[in-house]
Amino acid sequence: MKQQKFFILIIFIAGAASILSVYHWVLSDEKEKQIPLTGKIVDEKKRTIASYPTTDEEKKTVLLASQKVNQLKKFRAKDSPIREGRLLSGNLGHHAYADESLKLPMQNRPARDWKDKALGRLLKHQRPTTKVILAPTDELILVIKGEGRYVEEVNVSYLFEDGYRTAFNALVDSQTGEILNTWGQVIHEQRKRKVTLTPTNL
Amino acid sequence: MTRVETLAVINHTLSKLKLTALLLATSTVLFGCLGSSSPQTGRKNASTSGVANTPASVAEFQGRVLADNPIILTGNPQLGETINLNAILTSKPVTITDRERLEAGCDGLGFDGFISVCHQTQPDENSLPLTPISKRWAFDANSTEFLQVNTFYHQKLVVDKYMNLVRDMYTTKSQPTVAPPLNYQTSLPVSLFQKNAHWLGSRTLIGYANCGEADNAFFDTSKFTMCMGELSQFPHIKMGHDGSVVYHEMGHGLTAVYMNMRTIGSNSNLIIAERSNIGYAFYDEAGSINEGIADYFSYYINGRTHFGEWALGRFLNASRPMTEDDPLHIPGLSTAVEERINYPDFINYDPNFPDEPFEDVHLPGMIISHMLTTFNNDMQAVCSMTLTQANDVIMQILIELYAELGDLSSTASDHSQGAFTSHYTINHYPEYDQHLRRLSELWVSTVTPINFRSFSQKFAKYAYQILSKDGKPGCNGFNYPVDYLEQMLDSYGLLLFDNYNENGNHYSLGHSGTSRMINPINRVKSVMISKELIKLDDRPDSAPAFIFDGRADLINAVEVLQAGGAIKELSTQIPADLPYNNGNGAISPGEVVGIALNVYNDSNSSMGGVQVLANDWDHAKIDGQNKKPCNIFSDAWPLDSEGAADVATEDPINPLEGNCHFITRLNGNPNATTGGTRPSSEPNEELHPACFVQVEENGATIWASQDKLRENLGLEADKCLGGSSSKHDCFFRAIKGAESSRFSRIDPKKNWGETLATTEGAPTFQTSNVMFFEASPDIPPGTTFNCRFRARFTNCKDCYTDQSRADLDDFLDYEYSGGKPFKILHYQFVVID
Repeated sequence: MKQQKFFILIIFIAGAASILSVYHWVLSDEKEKQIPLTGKIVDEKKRTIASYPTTDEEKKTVLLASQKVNQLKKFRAKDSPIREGRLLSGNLGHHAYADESLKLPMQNRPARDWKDKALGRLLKHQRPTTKVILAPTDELILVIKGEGRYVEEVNVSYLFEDGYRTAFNALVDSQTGEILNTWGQVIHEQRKRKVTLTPTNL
Repeated sequence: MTRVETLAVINHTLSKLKLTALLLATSTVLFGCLGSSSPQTGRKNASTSGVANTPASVAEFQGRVLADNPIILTGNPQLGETINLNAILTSKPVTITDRERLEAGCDGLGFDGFISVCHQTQPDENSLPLTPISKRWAFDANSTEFLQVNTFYHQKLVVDKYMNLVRDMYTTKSQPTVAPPLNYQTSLPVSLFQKNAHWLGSRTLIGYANCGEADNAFFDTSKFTMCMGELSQFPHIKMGHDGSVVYHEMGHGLTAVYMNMRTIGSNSNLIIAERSNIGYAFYDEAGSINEGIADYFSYYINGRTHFGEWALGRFLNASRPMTEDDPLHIPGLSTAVEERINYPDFINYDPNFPDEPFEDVHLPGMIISHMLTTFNNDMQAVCSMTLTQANDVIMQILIELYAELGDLSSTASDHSQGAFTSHYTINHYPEYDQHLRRLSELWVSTVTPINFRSFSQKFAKYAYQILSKDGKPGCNGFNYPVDYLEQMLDSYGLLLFDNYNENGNHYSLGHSGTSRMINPINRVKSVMISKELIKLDDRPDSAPAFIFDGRADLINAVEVLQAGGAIKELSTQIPADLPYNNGNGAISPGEVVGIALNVYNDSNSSMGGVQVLANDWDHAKIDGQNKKPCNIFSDAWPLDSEGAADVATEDPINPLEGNCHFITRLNGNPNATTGGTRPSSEPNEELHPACFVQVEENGATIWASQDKLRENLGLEADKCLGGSSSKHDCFFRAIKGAESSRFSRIDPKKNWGETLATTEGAPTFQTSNVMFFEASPDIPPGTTFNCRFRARFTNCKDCYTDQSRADLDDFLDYEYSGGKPFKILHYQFVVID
């Protein structure tokens, strides 16, 4: 019995750690030499994207504590429709599929590397000094026209070299890492970053 | 010197003299309102010589705080940066919390809605939460510990006041559980507390009291966190020392709560993961209005008509007034009806820099904050209300209107079709389209975003229902005359609607039921302009559009748009480092390019909230294997000989699905659930991209879908920008999320650049002024495109109101998939390598 309790405790701690983990990815740069890397992927343009443990200063800048507090999964309403441990969303009628005896054809399958793929996409148009932090907040199945799609809900933070930061929430395909939809933004009292565009046809 | 630099260093003697006068007036008010105020200094409940704010000097759970910001507390508008905050603390300790951390719960209703920690304060990300000393929260006022306590105290004032109000609304004032609605058709969901929709699904709001951000405070809606920074020039001066700045940031947080009440709590049996945003672009009117509301939160808590005097105003010249009598304003403004600030003339007015018109999201919000303080005064006079009572009515109206405007369930009320039944009344339709985008979210963000018109209309709707309807109790037993309401809105240029649209925008029921019209006599200052008077600038030496294809500019733009969540990814046909961008001022194969139409105001009044849309719309007809442009719209384009779809057999009055005259009820969405009370399926209705291309067919030159060009070139479909599933925008397409441009104001007989020109020249373009596109590397040079963009503006007479109807009811939501509510503007270009 004691062993069983201990095992459950270990499982719980491991689960919590995986939920609370954050990934901090940058295009490979000189930081590689200074900070031990925990992961490395190559994007479609053959650029190396590397991850390393988020520093305290970076955590402070992107306000990560709130992500630990605000794991949406734990705030699901008690009567939420759930399937395979995931929140059901999508078009009207998705509630019915909380009954797992109902067949639901799936369009995708969750992949272990969905975060890596998503991070590659999120960094695709960024300069090498820009960092992105992806914090998972919930897991969903979207039901549309009688078909399901595994989707991850995440919080994305960008940290620029000049200290400017942005953030938003997103739905991400659990297989391909494709960013499906975004919402939420940072509302600054004093604007720090403007992109000035100069017409070239004058 | 840039404007930001100027903000930091300019000493505005004149403004400060005005501020002195303001403070004298404020002192008088404070003396009248607060028993402990000093008539000599205007100090607000502050000790005169400083107290030792030590644990020994307070009881358990207590501490001392700054009751207001240091300028108000000292009565000194020239207060220096060396202020000893201990000298202006509250003389009497106040209760902070009986918990071991700076946190508080939110009580719900009965067993529902209780949240054990709904908000908390901590110094920053890495520091441990503050704990009390012997259960006491008394710290030296110049310490970081005190900063946290002070921030939490003001944060809690806002939360407690809101929670008391929303509970009162649910049980007494609005009563969503009573059907038919007892007092008015409330937008509060029945499940408000059950689903924790009263607090964004029970997330914890975190206030970072000492987050280190220079010259800034911000609210991160994605994380539900508030960051209170400090001055770069004087880092010991903290935003958290100015309660009004805390109230402002908390205002953003609570507006996010209001906006999503129905999205989270509606009874539509639909779990919606997405949330409504407060604003969607660098500049848009939804964000502007929200800044005004956030300013008003400061008034809501402290009753003062100026915000941010210390942390933002004293050294950054960025504080804002909320009444025309404020001495910071330019001469000539007053609270007299004819001398108020107004829409759209004051959209770019900064009282700190009145000679420099500027496009910034914070400035137009002053029109809203001033309107609200005026309305507060009017209610006090007409309804015999106290300031607090009038404030609660205004906040009740704001909660109701934001819950409706942000509703991604589209139902607007749990009773919109009768007792406990609803139909899609606002934001069109809550289902995903083929691009996995929820239509209601598309409507809120892009198609019918919140603007000064929609805000004013909903404000009037709820104000009327709460205060002006016979037998309703909102005005203390009186009826607030609806003419007063309309005249007050008009005095701010905000009587921008023709009816109250109580019947909503449902595709078949949106013209049934009540839709009270305004009294047109009340429209004196609000100017409405025909959409026909917006056009491309065709004056000699004027370009019809500005092109942006400089590589560095576009790399920056894509970077910021992606990092802001506006756009996702570019086409895989476009290399990430934009090597094709050549900056030649023309559109070339392989480029990512920005286009800003050079729109011109041909009327005699200012236009506000100009928007140009490049998103897909219903303007093509499926004709066999081809899609052909419909020429039934106001632009009568193209001619039959130029490739227009055949409409000869169509009945314009009763068109069939698939006809040019039939506008899709589902936004061409094949994924929608159809039938029953919802629209029928429409297999022949598809949206079409804005841009057509010129091709040769049977010896004639015609305008055709881009798929026709692809076929003619023999290009594999998977080489299209969107792959084989997106052939009609194979070569040139708007980037989703960046397919709309906005211009805050255009003056009569001017374009936007002339309107905002200063002595330093024309304004610079920001991302929100520009629509962004991708051009395929496979476009043959010399190919001609014609893009059919749709334009509108907020004070437009016929962009939101169907002028063909006797009741001047609003267009229905589905009609925005077509051309009727818009002025169609064409931009034709030849691709040049």
